[in-house]
Amino acid sequence: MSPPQSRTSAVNENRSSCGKALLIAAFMAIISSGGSSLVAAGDATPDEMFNAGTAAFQSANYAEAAKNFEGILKMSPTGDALEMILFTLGATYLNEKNTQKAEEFFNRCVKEFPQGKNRIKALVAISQIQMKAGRKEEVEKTLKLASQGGGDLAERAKIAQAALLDETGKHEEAAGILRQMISSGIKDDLTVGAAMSLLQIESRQGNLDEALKLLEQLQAVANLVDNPLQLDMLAVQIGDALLAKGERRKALRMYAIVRPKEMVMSLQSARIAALEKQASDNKASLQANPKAFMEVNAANAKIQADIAELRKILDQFVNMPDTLVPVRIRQAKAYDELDQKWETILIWENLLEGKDQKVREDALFSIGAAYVSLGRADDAVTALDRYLKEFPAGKYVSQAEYLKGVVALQGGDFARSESIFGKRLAAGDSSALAAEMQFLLANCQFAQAADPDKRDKYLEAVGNYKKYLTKFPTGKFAQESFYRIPLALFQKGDYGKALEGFQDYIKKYPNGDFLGDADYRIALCYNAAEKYDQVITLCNEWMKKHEGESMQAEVYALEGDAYASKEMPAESAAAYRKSVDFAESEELLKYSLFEANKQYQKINRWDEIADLFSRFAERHPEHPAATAAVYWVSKAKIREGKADEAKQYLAATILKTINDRRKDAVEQLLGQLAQTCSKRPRRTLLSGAAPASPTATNAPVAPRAANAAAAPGSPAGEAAPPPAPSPTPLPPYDADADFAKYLNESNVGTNPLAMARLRYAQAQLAGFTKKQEKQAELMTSIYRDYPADGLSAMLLAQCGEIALSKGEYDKAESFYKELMTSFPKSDLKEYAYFGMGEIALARNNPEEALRWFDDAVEKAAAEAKLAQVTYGKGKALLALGKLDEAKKIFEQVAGTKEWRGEVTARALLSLGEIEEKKGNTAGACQYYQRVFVAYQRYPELVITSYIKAADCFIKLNEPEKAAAHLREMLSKPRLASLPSAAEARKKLESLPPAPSPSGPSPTPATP
Amino acid sequence: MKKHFLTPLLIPALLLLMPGLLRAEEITTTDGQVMKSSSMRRSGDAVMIKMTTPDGGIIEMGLPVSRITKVSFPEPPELAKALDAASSADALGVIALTGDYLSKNGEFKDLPGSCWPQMAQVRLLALAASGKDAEAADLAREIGVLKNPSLGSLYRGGALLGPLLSNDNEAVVVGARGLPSVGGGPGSALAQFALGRALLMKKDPTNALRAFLTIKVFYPSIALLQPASLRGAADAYLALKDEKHALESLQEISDTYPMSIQAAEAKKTAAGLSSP
Repeated sequence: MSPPQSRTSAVNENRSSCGKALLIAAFMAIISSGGSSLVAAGDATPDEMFNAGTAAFQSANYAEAAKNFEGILKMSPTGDALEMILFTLGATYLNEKNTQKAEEFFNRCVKEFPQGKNRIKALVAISQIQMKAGRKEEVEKTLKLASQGGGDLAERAKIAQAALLDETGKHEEAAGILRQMISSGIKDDLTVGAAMSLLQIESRQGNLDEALKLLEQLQAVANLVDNPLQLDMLAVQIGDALLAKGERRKALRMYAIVRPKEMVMSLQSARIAALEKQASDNKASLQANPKAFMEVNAANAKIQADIAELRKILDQFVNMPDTLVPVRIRQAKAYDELDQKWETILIWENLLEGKDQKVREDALFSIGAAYVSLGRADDAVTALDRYLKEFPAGKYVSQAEYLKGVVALQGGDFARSESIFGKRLAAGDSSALAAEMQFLLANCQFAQAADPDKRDKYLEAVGNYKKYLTKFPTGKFAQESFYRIPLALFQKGDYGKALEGFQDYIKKYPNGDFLGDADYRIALCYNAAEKYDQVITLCNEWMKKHEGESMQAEVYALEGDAYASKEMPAESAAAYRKSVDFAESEELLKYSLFEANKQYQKINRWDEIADLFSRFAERHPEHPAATAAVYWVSKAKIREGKADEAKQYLAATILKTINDRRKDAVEQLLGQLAQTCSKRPRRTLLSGAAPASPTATNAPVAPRAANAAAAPGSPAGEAAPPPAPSPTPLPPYDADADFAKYLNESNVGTNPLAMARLRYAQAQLAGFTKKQEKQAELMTSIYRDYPADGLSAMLLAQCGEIALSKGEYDKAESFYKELMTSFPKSDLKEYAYFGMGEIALARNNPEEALRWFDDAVEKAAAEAKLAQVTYGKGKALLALGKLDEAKKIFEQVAGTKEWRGEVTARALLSLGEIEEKKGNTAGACQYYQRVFVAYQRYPELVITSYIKAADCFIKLNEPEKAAAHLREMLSKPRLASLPSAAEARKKLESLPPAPSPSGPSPTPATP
Repeated sequence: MKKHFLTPLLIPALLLLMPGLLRAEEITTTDGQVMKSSSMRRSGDAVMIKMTTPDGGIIEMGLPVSRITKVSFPEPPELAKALDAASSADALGVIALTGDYLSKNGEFKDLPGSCWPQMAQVRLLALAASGKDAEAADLAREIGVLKNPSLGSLYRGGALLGPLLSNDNEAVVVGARGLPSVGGGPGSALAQFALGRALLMKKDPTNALRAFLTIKVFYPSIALLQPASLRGAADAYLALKDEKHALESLQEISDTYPMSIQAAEAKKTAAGLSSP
């Protein structure tokens, strides 16, 4: 529906014809429903007077019409007939422009027939007369009465009432009426009209949130809105107001409503066409019901008025400038300001579909810049190259080249960035970016020189830093360029010149940004010259001058190196430990930690090692080396003869995070504890240390002196060892009981994850103590008893595999999905992708399987499961009938040495299947034979391969060879005892009996 | 709008152009007749309506559907509830609220004024959002049978979920091109959603992301599709190795659409991505 003010201007022009139609319809109603109540008067019958009045009305002779209708009135009609004739007279006088008389009859109609059929029509007419007379207060009251009725007309009266209230400043009252009208949704032209009116009120009143909601509701029924242009304009208007208030997100919702101009025009044209069709259909319906011509004419008159209005709006719209581009630019900028670069790119790409070259230039450059912000080097370069190609002399050329260089630099492509900056500078770029490009050019060369084959690049970098200092002596990178010159020389190995350079820097910039680094590098220069005493002195001085600065950990590590070079392990270890205390980078932490460990081992300080690692594990629980640290603590304690303490430490560390499913290290530590508990603790290896528990082992203990005397190379070593009685046999070692001392149901608590992890550890212990059945049972109990959403990544991967092996695909899927959802960064995700692929294969969905297997490689960088994933991919291709592609994959699996094992045997079987499918039975047989010859470790596969080979021989019409194969298989007790051997037995029954001993020799017969 | 023009002009329009009054059970025909019916039933291309005669008797008459311009069906209470659920992206809520109505009122779905198409539209979006592709494609076909021009794009967009089931991604790509990506209605949004999913399967995350973001940027008011599209966008980001934006998308799902079917999973995945 169009807005009332615009539509009615057109409608008004048609009022005369429409009015006639309505009145005629009213008369028809009198004839049909109330005709019998008319009273005959005078010479003329009521029918004759009515017909005369109708004819006069139709010829716009309202005075004559009124005379006839007044005549009928004088006949004192009653009931519906009176109500109708009063209304008709009102309408006749209104058309005659005798508003006084019209109002009089309409008023009678309303007062005398408060429940009359024409009451609302009469009230609306009265309001019109009152409006013309400027009696606004009365209009308001009359419309209020009209709106209290039912039906469409009352609803239209409400819209009119609201408009009047709004005009007289009663905005909230107006809005209240309209809100009530749309309370049960916007679903037809009336409610659309109400919503549009309300939208304008809310927008004017600054109730932007309300306006936003209404616009979105209207957008959802856009097919009912017959003035899409106005909808779009309101969206822009409200969007701009929201943007001005800084409410970008809301503004963006508004701008999203704005549609391309062509689309709006097409919608408008479609609506006009639909109305034209409706008018035509209406007209056609007259053939079936000719009596309805008055109603049809009235309806079509309204339609024609609507069409005329819609055409007018469309014509105006065609000649208006397109608002879409500025709106889209506003959208792009708003998203940019919200740092939503992908969305920014989407909108600029949308703008590229237009033909405006200026917009195109902005769009292409903006897309490139957005990709740079996203750090997407390849996309950025592609976009910027596109810009440079289309606008080689464009306004953003210098910026585009600069961005390309920066992106290459950020992406580590230093050669490329060097080339870009070099070319720009060589071409004499004098833009504001020239200084930065000069500095970055040198940095690119510096970075490339890290490659041993490009060491000379350091010198080129020095040259460009010098150029920078010459061209931009006060530039923002002057100090850094000055410092980078000796740094480059240092990296090049020219320590003498570097030393001078660092010293010059310190003189020139006594409070410079790189002072701490320069002092550290000076010490490194001395270290390179193997002057370790000076290094130690310089490190100490550094501490005095720069204590607390960022290089402190590096300086301690350097001191540790110097002491290590001087073969002073205690001092060296102490320095490395300090480095560990201050280090922040993962790399340095790891270096200093393990260097300290080495030095302590040299002096046999296992107590210090235990302390070092235990502090490290405590301070850096997330460090990749944290698990190794726990291992070293336990190892050190065992070396100290404190096996019990070691296990207690492991258990205590495990218990700290046993309830946290994100701590992958827990399973590793559980494995470590299980392994430690799986064997009886050995006596200490440390000389002089007491055995762990002499009473428990009941083993005789030799005195230390005796041990020392027995040591090889000692003077007493030549003496014969004192006779010792045979050790008393130890009682059987109970690994389970030992494990339970440290980790058990009472100390892990009732958390399902902790309980599952306890079972995992018990399963591991069963594995270490060679109780495979118990191990499988325990692992199965985890998968059976605990829900997927509480398990750790490792347990999910393992439970998924168990479910998969049991053919419980739904269950396996739930574990794998949970693994992918809750651990998107886990290294174990490859298990999930592989498992999902297998499930898809089992469900006969090879295409989906192929995607999962590809994902395993592309998204999860499969490593542990790579062989199975590759084989799975082959199976999927085979299932899709892509024999050649599948063959290549199986050949790859069978040919990869590192994967040799079950998967190789399976690949060979699959290769056999492919040959069979291709009709090459002999070739297939060879593959099957390779399996039972080379992969006896996999009995089930061996049985399959024997049977398949036998089948090939049957196909080749060589039943004797087939039988020989099967007999050979059944002659092997390990194979014959398996249930799958039954098939071979059955097959053998239909084959020729065994020949005499001189008969055909079995395996491997060549087909 | 210049408000001072409104009132004086509107009233004559009301007077002269008003159609017959409609009540709840009223049927308006193309020739402007308004019939009051006490009950209705479907008989092929006609609707059989029961009317009370002036003398109090009841007659049943057949009215061709082509002659009906409007039936004033009462609005089903489930519709408002379903729309409410849709606005908070509660797809399961919408599915629960709409199924019964659609199955019981199918016989009048093609009549002007029927709430069936609106109910079907919201259900279709909910089915698509919750991954019930087969049901969504079936419903889209049912909508298509109505041959209602204003529902044409909805049918075409919804029907694209069918080829997804059979991995016919190329069909989705081609089909989606047939609908405007920007400026259309829910059908266009559905097409972009199907396109994003097809492109993800085709391992084209950049274009998949474009399709999913089109729904966020150009159809923000279709709340039902937002969480599923954001989830798709998150998957595309992950495929593009852009964890930061994947995380933002997942957080937007759980923060803005907590009632959505995707919220719990998004929260979990976000927690997984946030952990070291």
